[in-house]
Amino acid sequence: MKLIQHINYSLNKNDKIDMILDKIEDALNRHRKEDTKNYFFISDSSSTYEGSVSSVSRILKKFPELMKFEIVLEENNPGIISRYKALTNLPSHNKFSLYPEFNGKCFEDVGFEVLKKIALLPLP
Amino acid sequence: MHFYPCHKSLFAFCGLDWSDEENNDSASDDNSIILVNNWWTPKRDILLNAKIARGLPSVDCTTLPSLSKDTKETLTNLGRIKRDTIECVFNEDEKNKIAEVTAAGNQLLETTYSRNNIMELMSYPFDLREKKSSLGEHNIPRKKTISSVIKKLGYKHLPKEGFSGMLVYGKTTENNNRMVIEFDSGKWFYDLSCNVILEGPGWKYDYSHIPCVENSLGDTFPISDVETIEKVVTNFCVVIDYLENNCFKELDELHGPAPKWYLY
Repeated sequence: MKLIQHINYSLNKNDKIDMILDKIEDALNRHRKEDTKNYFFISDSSSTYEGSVSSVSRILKKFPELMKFEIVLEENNPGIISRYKALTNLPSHNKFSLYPEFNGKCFEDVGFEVLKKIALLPLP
Repeated sequence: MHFYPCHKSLFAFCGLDWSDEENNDSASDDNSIILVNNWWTPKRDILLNAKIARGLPSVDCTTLPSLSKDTKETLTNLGRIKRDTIECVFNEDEKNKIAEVTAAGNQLLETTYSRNNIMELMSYPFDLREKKSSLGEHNIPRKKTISSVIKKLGYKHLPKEGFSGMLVYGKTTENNNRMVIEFDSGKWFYDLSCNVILEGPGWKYDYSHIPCVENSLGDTFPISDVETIEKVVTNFCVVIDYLENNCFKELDELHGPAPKWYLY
């Protein structure tokens, strides 16, 4: 048996993502071992239709080097199969089970600085 | 001000060295910080969690050994801590043993303590059969009334558990397993249902939508006023008391004690 302690934080819409990331960065600087990995998963909505704004496309426009992480997901709603874009370096059957199973194509690391810049992209 | 307009997003920063405990068999993913920031819900779904692999305390330990001062400081600096819980991750042998005991427990629930059997045994202080078909009123305040009734059975409010529209109460058993009572006011806050749960490390039994009316297998009861809440909860308490002292008592004994240091 292994024990994992989970600390859940209380956040709401007033918590700014840049301040949260600054705190995470501070924690990583203090406690991170070498040769470890950042995982990410970013996706559009399954109802993103042709011609609408795609968050993933906006990110790829600014960071074309992330193109290798692009995958297309399918969601089977009654009568309609929706296809939408996502970016991820998560392996399938990952521990972060919030997301459906998928086949990623690139599992390389992405630096914290890049993820931070993506997270701070302003609204279109 | 910055926004992050993605439908779903997750960032997992792994491989943290949280403490000076020996966790040689822990995967790098077990020591991590996870940030979820989704924009698909009206209120925005934003979660921040830290995971820390802990060494296994000795059997006679009553609390988990304290984290190092440095780790505590970092965890505090990350934000307002909402919950601090322990997850036991079992190996295959341990999982199989728990599954075996749980199967015996489920058998008990399906036979001796089936809904039909319990229905026949229950006798309620209030006859609510007529009121069951009445219409509920929106937003009748219920916490004060529910708390005053359920506290008579020794349950304490667990404010950090449940979700919007749900009140959760709990108490630990003699074996340090936990009884949990959930009062759910439904999506539109018109009615009230009650779930009774018994849980321990790696296992859980959920007796959902217990009855509060004669000859009923389970109820979601319309709430029209405070008096109705009191009567409904008092009737629910008859079933809760029965389950706690019979069915769940047997299940508690079947699984045996949870370690004293286990945090719910």
